[in-house]
Amino acid sequence: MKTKILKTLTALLIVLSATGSGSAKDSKTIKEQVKVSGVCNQCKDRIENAALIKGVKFVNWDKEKQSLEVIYKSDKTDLLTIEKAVAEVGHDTEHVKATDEAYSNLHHCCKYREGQEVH
Amino acid sequence: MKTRCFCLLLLFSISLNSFAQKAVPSIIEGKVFEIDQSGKVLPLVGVNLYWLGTQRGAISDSEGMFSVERVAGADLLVFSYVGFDNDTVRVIGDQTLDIEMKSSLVIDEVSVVSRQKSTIISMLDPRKVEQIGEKELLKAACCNLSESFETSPSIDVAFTDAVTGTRQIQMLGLSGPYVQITKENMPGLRGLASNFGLTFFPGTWIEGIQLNKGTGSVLNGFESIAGQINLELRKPEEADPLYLNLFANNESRLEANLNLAHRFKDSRWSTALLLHASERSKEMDENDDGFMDMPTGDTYILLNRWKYNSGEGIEGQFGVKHTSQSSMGGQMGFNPNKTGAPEYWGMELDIQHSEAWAKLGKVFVDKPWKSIAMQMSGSYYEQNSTFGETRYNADQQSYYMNSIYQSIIGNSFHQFKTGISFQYDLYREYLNDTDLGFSERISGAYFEYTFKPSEQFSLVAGLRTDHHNSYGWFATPRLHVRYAPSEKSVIRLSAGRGMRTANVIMENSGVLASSRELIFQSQQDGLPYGFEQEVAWNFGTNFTQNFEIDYRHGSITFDLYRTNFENQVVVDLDLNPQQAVFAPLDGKSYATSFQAQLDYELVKRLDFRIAYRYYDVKTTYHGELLEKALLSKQRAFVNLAYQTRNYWRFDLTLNRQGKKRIPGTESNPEEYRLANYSPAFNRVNVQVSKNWKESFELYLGVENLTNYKQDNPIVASEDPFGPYFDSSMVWGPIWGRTIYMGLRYKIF
Repeated sequence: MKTKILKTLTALLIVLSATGSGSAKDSKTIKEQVKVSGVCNQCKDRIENAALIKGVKFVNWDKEKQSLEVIYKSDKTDLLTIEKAVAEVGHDTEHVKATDEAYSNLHHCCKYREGQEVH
Repeated sequence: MKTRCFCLLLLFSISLNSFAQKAVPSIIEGKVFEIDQSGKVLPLVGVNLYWLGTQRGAISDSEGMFSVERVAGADLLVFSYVGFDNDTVRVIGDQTLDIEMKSSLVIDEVSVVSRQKSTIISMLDPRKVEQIGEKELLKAACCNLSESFETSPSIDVAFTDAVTGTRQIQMLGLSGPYVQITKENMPGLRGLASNFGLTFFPGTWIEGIQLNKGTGSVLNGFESIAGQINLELRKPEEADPLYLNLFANNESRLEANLNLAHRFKDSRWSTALLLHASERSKEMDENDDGFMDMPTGDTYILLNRWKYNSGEGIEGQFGVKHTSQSSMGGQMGFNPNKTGAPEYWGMELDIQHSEAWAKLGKVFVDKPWKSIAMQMSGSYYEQNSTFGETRYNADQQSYYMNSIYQSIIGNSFHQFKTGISFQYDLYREYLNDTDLGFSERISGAYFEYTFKPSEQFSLVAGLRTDHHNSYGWFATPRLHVRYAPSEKSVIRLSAGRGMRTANVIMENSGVLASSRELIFQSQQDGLPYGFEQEVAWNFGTNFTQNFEIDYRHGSITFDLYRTNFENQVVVDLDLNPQQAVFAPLDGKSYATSFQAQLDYELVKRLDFRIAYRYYDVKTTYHGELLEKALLSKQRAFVNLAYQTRNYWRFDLTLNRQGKKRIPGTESNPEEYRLANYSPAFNRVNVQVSKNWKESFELYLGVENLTNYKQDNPIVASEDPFGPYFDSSMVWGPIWGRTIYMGLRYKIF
């Protein structure tokens, strides 16, 4: 009896893990950290809103670490596309620099290039 | 057999391993310091450090040096220090540690709302504090504090009567005055101002609201019974230099708010000037009962505040505020300037309210756990009003002083706050020719101890004793306990006693807009209005569980609160529909409230909130235990908020109020009798807004989308000078669908 239950459980687990990895072959959920410059909570709102594009499931920008954590579907987007989206609203990322025009639109408390301290 | 052998071996090796560690205790040494603004390294003295999950730790010495013995199985070392953010360090090997701690100094009791989520229930606070942030306030664009709770299931908003259109809040089934309203942790709306005062705080002046259900801190006095609402107004040092808000609706309500802020060059001083003007000019009678649905009138409010920060631990601020409000309502043809016998029933209300306050605080730079603060305020409230043939004129002078000394006992596991406070109120109150005036002098002392041995557990125990010129000595004990079994769940318990003087006329101003005769029973000489102060115990528990599904966050919360009155001034509207009888409580009076709330980001960018609450509120009226009138037992609430990537925002709020008991009207003539219960109804609000470049925003909304109205909110509206007239039997919306629009503009 006990073994029967164990067997079914094992079988179930194998099936589950198989389906899990099966779908993962086409589309992986990737978690990455990327440097993003900014100074305050207003920056956080802006960066996270910008990064949350199609295919991105989760974003969290840490102002102390100056780092953005992203979780995205690899078949729908990639890290560079996300970084471009963030740079578009004025924040420099590890691989993409924001244009001066985008940067000039930032709130004065967010001007990270002018030595604004993290607050 | 083989596996068992292996297991034994494994166990043995583990125990041997830990034994080995115990046998050779290793010492971790290091230094803990902060770096000040000039880049200087300052050692921190008395920093608490402990191995996470254990009771073992040490304290840094006078040079900031520490040494701590390693504990088997623990490698996370937590550094905690009052006024600084906790720091956790993983210790591998026997290295020497250099720990820089970051200061998180604030003099204010509660830190400013984070802008991340619109409403946050703090996981660390031993009190259950709901933070209503700026985003949440923007969901309901209109207009002042009394209308800011449309999207909060914890607070019910009801009208006091169908003439003044005054909104009163209700929390845990108890009406507004049982909730202590503070402005940056100083007395906000007290006494006479508590009835109409909710309109004295324009929405755009408010940066955040902290909603604390159940008993509050002894630091803020003995008055909170159902809970505490603390308002944080725009801070001069943080606010944008210019913020303009304009609002208009289809019922001729116009509002303008202008916030200005300036930081002076040396950045020690900053100031803010907040201005508000509003008016409602058109007399409207949608329900054809001959009465204006809302009074006409105007309001002007001005606030100026200054803040000083020395950068070396001294902080000070002071401010002044003045409100001037006049309104006129009643029957459509009413003309206040006409002399002689009144032809029409009319209401006139003129309010002047002035306030001044100051706060001064010092944090000891070398001992950041230690601080001294002093709060002072004075206010003057004056109201001249007529309701039909009833005249009600009153004013109140108040002075308040509170001191706070904060420090630790031994280490930061044990923190305390203590101080003395003084309050003086002089009430001059005339109802027609009856003089109801009195004065109150209350001096008190308090001590609040916080025990916080770990991130999982904290306890706050407070006690204050006060002496009142009429009521003598009384004690106010309060207790809060918080336990977090895991990082994502927290359980809280609270218990405490609260006391207050009931301002019986003002808090029941609805009966002035009726023909009811006011009767006072069992009065005692020498007490305010002839009644003992109200005394109640409040007990509460709540549980919050945060979760994450598919990388989107959510939380579920359960609340259960109970308030038992020992002493209360009961207003009996049931005995006789032509009377309002004020009498001391004789029998039971209690309020039980249960609330369940679920918050979840349903799909990306779509926040969903659903809540349900249940009240069981009963009071003994003339020997009979009755359900509290005009309060729904059940309420359901749904809010959906969606924001696009380019800042379009859509909001939908649905409120379902269950049936409410209506005070007895059986003895009235048939045409003036009301049903025993009101029907249940829904109220739906929607709003759309769009923001450009974070500086310009337009919004458009509809309140009461389904156009639901209470059929006849005024009893005997055609005979307002007759004995059956009553406008206080309001259970639902008085006016129907309203459309509003407005703009917000910021310069930064």
